[in-house]
Amino acid sequence: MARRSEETYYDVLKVDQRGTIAEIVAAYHSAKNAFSKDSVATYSLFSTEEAHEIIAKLDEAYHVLSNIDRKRAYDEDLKRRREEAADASMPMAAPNADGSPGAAHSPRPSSISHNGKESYQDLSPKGNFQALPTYDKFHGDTWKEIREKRGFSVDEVARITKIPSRAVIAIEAEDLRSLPARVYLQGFLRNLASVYRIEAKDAMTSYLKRIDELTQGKPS
Amino acid sequence: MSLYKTKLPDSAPTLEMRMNIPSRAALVAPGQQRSIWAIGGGKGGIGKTLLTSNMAVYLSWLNKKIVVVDMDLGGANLHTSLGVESPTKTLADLVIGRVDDMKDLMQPTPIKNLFLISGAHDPVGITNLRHMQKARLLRKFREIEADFVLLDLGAGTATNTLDFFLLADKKIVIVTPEPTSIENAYRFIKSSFYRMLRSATPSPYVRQLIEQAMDMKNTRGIRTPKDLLNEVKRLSPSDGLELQQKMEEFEISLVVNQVRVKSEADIGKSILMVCERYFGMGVEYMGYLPYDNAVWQSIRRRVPFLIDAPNCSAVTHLESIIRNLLRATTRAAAAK
Repeated sequence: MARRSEETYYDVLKVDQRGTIAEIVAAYHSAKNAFSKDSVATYSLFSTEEAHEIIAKLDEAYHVLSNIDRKRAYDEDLKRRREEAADASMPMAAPNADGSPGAAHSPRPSSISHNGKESYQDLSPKGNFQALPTYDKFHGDTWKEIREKRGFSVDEVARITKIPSRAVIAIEAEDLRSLPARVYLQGFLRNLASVYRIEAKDAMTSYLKRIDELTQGKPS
Repeated sequence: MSLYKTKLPDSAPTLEMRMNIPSRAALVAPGQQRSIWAIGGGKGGIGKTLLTSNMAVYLSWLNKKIVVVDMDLGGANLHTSLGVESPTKTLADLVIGRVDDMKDLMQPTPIKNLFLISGAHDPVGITNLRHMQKARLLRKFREIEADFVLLDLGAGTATNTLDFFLLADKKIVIVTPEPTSIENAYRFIKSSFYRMLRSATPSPYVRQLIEQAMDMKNTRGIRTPKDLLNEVKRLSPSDGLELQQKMEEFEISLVVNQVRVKSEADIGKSILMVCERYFGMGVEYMGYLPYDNAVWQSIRRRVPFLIDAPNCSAVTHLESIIRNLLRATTRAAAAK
C-alpha cells in the first residue's frame, strides 16, 4: 500500500489543525472504527499487517493530538518545520550528510516518539532542564557546555536531531575541515538550539560569525 | 391496468415546500438537456431497483419529467417494481433497429410525469451488446427529453454496465451492510474508475499501466488507484498530473440500504474514508435507507413503498437522500 511520507498527524486523522479536541477524538474513533479488524468496510482491502500499521499510525497521531500540551508542542514543531521547508536555502529540506532523510522530511518532531524514550515532556524546561547562564558568545565550546548542562551525550543529540554525530563533534570542536556546508550548518545549529531550548537566532549568528573569522584567519 | 389500489396524487405540493426544489435551470448545466443519474452497486439484490423506482416516483412528484430506464439487460424487472404491466416495446427494439426513437419506447406509468423504458422480455444475448450498439444507446440516452433520466443498472462489472454508469452525471452506488455487498461495491467503484481513466487518457503508455492495475495480481504492486497515480507520477510526472486531475473530477454518491443499527449506517462513512485515503477518489455519502418491513411488503405488492407505505421510516430517509442528491447536482451544474 502506498504511503505518504509527508503525512502529518492531522493528515492521519483527517482533521483540521484548528480543530477542537472533541473533533480530534471523534475523527479518531471514526477512523479506528473503519479500520478495526471487525470492520466490514475494510476487511477485504487490507491484510492484518496493513491494518495493524494503519491502527498504529492512528494511535500515534491520537496520542499526540488528544493532549493539549503534546498538541501545542507538536504544532510549534510543525510550524518551525514548515518555515524551514519554505526556505529553499535551508538545509533541512535536503538529505543529511550521512544520506538519511533530512529532518524536514519527517512529519514527526525529531524529539517526539510515541513508543520511544524521548518526548516533548522530557525535553521541556519543566522536566530535567535547568536555567542556563547567559552567554555572550556561542563558540564551539559553548555548544559543548550547553549540551553537557542539558545532560545529552553526542550520540543522544545525534539520535534525537538526526544530525550526524561527526557533525555535532565538528561544531563543538570548530573543526573547519569537518564542518558541513554553510547551509547545512545553519540547519544543524537551529535544530540543536531547538533541542537545547535556547534562542536560535543569537546562537546561530554568533557561531557563524566565529566560523567566518576562523576561516579568514583572524579569530577574536 | 394499474396494480395501485390507492388514488395517486398528481403532484405533492407539500413536498415541494419541504424540499425547496431547485429550478430546472439550476439542476442542469448550461447547454445540457437533462441530468442523468445511474444507480449501480456490483452485487445483485441490494436495492438498486428499489431505490431507482422510489426516487423516480418522488422526483416525478416534484413536477419533474422523469424517465427510468431498466439497464439490467437480461434481468430487467423495473416494470414489476413500478407495478407496470409487461411493456410491449423495449430497449431490445432499439438495439435491433425496430425502433429508432427513444420516445417510442417511453411507456407511461400510473404516476404522472413518470415514464419507463423497459428491458423486460428482451431476447437472450441482449447482455452482450456490440460496440456500435452500445455507442448508439449511449447517444440515444442523451436525446431523451426529460428533466431526469434514471438508469437502473444490472449487477456485476461488465464493461457495458460500467460504460452506462460512467455516462451519468450522478453516479450512485448502493451497498448493504454485508461484507459481500461491500466487497463487490469496492470492486465496482474501482472498475468503473479504471475504465473512466483508461478511456480518458490519451497516452498509450498510461493506458497500458491502467490495464495492468486492473489486474489485482499485477507484478507492479499496484493495488489501488492511488498506487497507480504514484506509479504514473514516478515514471512520467506530466502524465501523473493529468491523471490526478481526472481522478479529482470523478465522484461517487453512496447510499447504504437495509440499515438495522446505527453502526451499519456508519459503514457509509467508513467506505468514504477508505475511498478518499487509499483510492484517492471523492465519495459523497448521501444517506441510508433503514430496514423496514413495510419495504419488503411493498415489493411483494409490486408498488413503490413511497405509495404503498407513505408513513414508513424509509420515506423520511429517502427524502433526505434525494435532497442531498439534488444539492450535489445543483452544485455540479453550477461548477460547469
